[in-house]
Amino acid sequence: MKGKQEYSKNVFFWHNIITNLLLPEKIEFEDYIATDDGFGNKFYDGNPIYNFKIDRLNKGIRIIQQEPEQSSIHLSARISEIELTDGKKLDELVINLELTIESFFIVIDLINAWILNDFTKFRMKRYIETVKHLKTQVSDLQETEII
Amino acid sequence: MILKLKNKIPKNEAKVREYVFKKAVNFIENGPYQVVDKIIIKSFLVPDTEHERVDIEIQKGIAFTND
Repeated sequence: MKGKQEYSKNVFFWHNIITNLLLPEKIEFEDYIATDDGFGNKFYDGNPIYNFKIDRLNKGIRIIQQEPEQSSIHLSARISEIELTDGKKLDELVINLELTIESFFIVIDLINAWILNDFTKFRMKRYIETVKHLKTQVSDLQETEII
Repeated sequence: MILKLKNKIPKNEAKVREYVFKKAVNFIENGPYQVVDKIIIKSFLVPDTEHERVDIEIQKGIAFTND
């Protein structure tokens, strides 16, 4: 992240999106990953830029926003299991992205599948592969100027 | 600690992760870190890959002090 202001803008952006997605469904959420070093110094690094868990589903989402120059791959996602401070395990969808209009809508779709449709870990892994495959297909079509 | 991990994994795997190992070391050197009520996690993804990465997770206590 280039500066504290940009970091804050991005956090607000994701908070607004997640709130608008989950509150109408009456889904309560809270963060589970620290955004500071425990001594009051914030990270400001976008790793993660936003995170939230839903206790009822025992699921979380961690969104890591990369610095734009880093990669030609603008989005990747995986399912992981982590242990929280109380020893409880949490299934999390970890998304690495460079924020673009395209990656934004894919993230919305993944959140929809993982949280709103409550996909199982197995189904979600398969769905991530499907989305990846479709994304590649669409990119190929763009190159051949069909779309 | 990171060097031990680096030496444990196959050489080609370590080589792919060279860049992000440096990032992880940099994070560690900027410590210490203290878990108050939430875990601290950092995932350093190798550029241009989807899954090759180095993760640091701190679940309890104070980590990476100079003591």
